[in-house]
Amino acid sequence: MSTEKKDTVILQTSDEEQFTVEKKVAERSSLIKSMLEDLPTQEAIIPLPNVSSSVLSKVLEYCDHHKNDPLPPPDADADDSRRKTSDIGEWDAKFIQVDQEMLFEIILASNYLDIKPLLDVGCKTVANMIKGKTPEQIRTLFNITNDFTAEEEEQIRKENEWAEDR
Amino acid sequence: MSTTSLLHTALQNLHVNQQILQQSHTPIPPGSPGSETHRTGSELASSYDGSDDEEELVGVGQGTRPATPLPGLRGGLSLRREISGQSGKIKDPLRTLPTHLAVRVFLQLDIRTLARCNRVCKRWNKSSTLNYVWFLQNRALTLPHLSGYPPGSNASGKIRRLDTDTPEFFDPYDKTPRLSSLPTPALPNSQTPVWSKLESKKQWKTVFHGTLKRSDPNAEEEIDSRRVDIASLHSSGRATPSGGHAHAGSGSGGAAKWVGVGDEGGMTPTERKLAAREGYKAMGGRKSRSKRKMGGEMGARDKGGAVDDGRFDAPW
Repeated sequence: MSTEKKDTVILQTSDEEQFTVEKKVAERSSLIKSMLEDLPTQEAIIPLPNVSSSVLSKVLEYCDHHKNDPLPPPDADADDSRRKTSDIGEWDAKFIQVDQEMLFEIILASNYLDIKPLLDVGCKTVANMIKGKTPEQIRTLFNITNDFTAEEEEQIRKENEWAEDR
Repeated sequence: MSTTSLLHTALQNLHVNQQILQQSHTPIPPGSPGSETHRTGSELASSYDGSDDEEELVGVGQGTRPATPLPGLRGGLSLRREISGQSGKIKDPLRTLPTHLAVRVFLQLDIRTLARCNRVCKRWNKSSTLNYVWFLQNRALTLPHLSGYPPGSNASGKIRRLDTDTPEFFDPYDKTPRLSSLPTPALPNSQTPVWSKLESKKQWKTVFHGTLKRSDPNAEEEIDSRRVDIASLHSSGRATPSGGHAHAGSGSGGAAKWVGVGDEGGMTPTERKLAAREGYKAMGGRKSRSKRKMGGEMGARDKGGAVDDGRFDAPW
């Protein structure tokens, strides 16, 4: 580990915006962390072609808040960390209260940047949105058109009766 | 070097390149070494159409979402918006999220909601992503160790405790398993779904339901009839029903019933055994037909389980 590295890094988004970020914050992303370990130069700008500036600023807000959390071991199973934090923390729950488009983009970005806890919060939030809803409510939630005929719908409903009311 | 030889070399190189290109498009023959083991995503994609090997590992979500990685989030989203032609944004998680992330989301749903997802629309109903989630749910029921449950974790109640001491996940006398108490299966280790082509064609919701029914306390008819079958097998086969009775007596529901059968006609199992022995002696050497008949009658009596002395007119 080189100690001479600067303690900030520059991240460049898909829309060419640059973010100067504390290294500790940026390293919440396993992708950036491993990039920094491989980069010898100190002036490097890290390009993030899959992330837009609006999403990155939101993601960095999360990283900044969690910068002092213990880092999960690099090869930890996704489900391991998932089991430990079975629920979404208070701050995280507030943080993830965004519109659906942003929510999905945060999930995609945290997947790309490899920020497991954030990915986890995002996926859980989507799951919580679906949980306990009727098919019609799910359709409304995700703007999906019902393309079943009445008979088809009734048939699947019958097939599924075993799963209801337990 | 002359120009002709240069041209010759160039043509040769071109030929070689074409050959290499053609080779890379040939599907790997089924059964060739390594064809059934781990594959990378690109290999999967290239050989998917060419092979009929049912054991071959296949991906999830083929045909349900664009296979090529999207150049950028913004670009990708706007592209999909154009394709759909719907007003407003695409919010459908099965279309917005790549397969392994959608699996992550839907794996967290309870069974009831997961089953409701099939009723949302045709795309969701036939979605291989959701089918894969059902596949994982089913595997969590049948093979908890494979699904990554650490032994001894008791986060989700009784059903989880079972796997600490038994390799069998299902206790037929366990009345507790409920949909609501089922543990959430662990995420698969690999991002690419690991199941064979054959497996990917199954309807895993139905399979899951079948697996669940095996321990369903509400499916009493099925369990009862099976218990009777086992008992009658024991008694008719060995002509010593004691073993069968002891077995059935340990069951919870029909214990009294089986005790009643044991006392039938005032015969203890030993007495009955002796009686049967006498019967065989009386028959001399000829046993085949009558023996089978007798055994059958005893079996039928046990199966009925009712106290019916009329049936006790034994041939001896």
